Amino acid sequence: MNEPAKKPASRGRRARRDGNVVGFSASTGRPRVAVTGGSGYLGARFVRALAARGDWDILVLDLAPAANTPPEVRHRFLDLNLPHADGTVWKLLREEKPDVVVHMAALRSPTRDATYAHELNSIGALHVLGAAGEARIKRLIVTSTTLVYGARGDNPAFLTEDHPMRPDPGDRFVRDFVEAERHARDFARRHPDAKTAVLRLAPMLAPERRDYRLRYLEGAFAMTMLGYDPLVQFLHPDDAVEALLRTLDKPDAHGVFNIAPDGVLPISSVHLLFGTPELPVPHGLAYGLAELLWLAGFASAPGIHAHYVRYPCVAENEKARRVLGFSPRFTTLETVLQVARAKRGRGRALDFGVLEEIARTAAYRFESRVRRHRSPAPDTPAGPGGGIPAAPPKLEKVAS
Amino acid sequence: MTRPDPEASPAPAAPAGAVAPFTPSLMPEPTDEHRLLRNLLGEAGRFLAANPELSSPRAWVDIWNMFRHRNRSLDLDDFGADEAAARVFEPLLDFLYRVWWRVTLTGVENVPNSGRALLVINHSGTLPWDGAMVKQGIQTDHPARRQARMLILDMFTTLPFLQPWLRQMGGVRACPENGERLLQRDELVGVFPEGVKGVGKYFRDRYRLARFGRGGFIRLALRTGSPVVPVSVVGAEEVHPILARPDVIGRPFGFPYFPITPTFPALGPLGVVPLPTKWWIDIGKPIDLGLGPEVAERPMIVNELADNVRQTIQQMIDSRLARRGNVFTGE
Repeated sequence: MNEPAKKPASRGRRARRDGNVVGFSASTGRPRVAVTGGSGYLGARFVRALAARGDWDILVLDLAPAANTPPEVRHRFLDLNLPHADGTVWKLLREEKPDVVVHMAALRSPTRDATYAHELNSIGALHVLGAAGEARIKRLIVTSTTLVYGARGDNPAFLTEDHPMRPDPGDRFVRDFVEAERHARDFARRHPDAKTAVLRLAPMLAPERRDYRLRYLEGAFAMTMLGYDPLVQFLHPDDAVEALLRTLDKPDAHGVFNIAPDGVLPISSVHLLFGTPELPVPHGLAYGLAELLWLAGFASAPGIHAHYVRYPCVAENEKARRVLGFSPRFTTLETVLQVARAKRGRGRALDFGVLEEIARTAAYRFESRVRRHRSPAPDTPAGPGGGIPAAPPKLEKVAS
Repeated sequence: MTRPDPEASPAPAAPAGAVAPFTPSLMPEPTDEHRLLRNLLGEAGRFLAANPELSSPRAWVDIWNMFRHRNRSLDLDDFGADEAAARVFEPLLDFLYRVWWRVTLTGVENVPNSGRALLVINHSGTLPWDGAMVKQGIQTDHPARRQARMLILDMFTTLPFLQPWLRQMGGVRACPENGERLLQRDELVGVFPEGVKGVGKYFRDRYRLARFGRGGFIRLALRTGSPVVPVSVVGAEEVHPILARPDVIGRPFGFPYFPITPTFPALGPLGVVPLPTKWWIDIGKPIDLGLGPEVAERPMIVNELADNVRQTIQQMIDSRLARRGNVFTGE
């Protein structure tokens, strides 16, 4: 739009190279979103959910289109691992002129090829953000992970967005996400007129997604730390998609948001539901043993990730609730139960029917216990014992 | 390998005068234990036949896991407190409260029946027994049976075995974020502002309150508009009299020091048993700070308020000590 003279030439060149691909047609009048990594597990779900609504023109930038992609969703090839990927992204963004760029292309399980993960997760984000800045993109949504807070013994029970990112310096996998967030912060600083939303997604768990957490949970043994039982949270992929849609619908979503479920579960209870025998290892040996297992190919994450079965790393979703209007549909217990039943439902002594009833009651109790404190109704009758006063209690009353 | 079953009815067709059936002498006669064992195995076999799904190895893992979780609940609160797990230790805490330390609790009416309040408690006794006893006392004697949530030092919440246990019992790691969250939910929160300096003080320094941190608890009370309830615990200083505390030994175990008491480590695990002193827990009148949350940003006022609370608790301790006789009997 800014340089009408240059546009036809570049579009013509693209059109010659891959003939059937054309730019967003201007006639639809719908807003346009470009999704990098839109063929990944979460990306494909997000794209399908958005296409079903039909109010956005969607362009997926990925290596290959995902299976079952709706026909109205277009795909263009993008490999963020190439050294000049920023130029490619820039050209694509100049041709397509999307209103919003959602950057989801990242490797979400640790790999032994740490260089590849670094090139994609950290440098890939740098490429996309740099190109988005040059292409004058006004809205960006970047997905990150709550692991960037790091599992630490001195973490508060719930990590808010302003808590510093302190993963273990030796954790290369998580460090790449921290770097990507730094790139996003730099982008927001350089382009104060652009809205940049960073979504920190809590660890996701889904039966059809065999990432490193699911491989850990459904192994023959699960290594745990002797004498430690941290609280964990697991996000349902539907809730992650819901959060992305909510963010897309808020034109002024800016800043960092934790996308986390309600409720927590000790990791020992997760093992109970999965029916996995625990192998408790003293923490003096655990890191070395886990690293050896990882190097030998038996473990799904490097030894440094043993931190996450020792210390808590639980994120608070209050800001996303307040600003984005996000409210998770599944608690941690419900998500874990769903996956455990789907993956390990056969030959169990546990009665999943009873457990699901417990999960429903727990979710209901959680709702009544927590929600009333978050938004106390002004006309709640404040009884002598159970009522919750909207204002801090008066001291005279207390002292009498 | 079929052998005549001694319990079975005698063989019907044994003609008179026939030779007794041969019994291998190497096989001993079945004793009562043998029969019991065989019956048990038979029961297991019948059980497995009735429940074919239990013959999978996963089911046995389940049974083992369920055995380990027999006293645990899946319905935890946000901070991981587990009512079912806490109930198991209820008799032990009750025994310590009534029999071992014969706690006398005064001023329980000063704890509000509902709404937020911040209990400020002096810390002593090497292990956080004082917090457990204050919680137990309020739970037992308060008309509303309020559950106090204790903010616990890092040095305890990062220790193996103690970490999950304290969490299940309702303990929360001491940090401003956790305290604020609890108070905003109108919980009763207990803090020990002396911290490590209090819980690990030398025996010769007993009942002399250490500095009250940096006044974080005052900032907490100001931000959340909570009344401060001073609590003094007398008797806990003598349960593990610390004679020396070389930190060189403690550090590798993740403990800031290594307490040496008359019984520990000399008596080994027996040295962990606290001495049966007589305890008093006195709960004072709530202190009205009477200031708004903006004062939390003024360190000098915060420090003065913290020192006022410290002096109040020191006076409560001193007056109780003056009336106390023998450390163990109290008379």
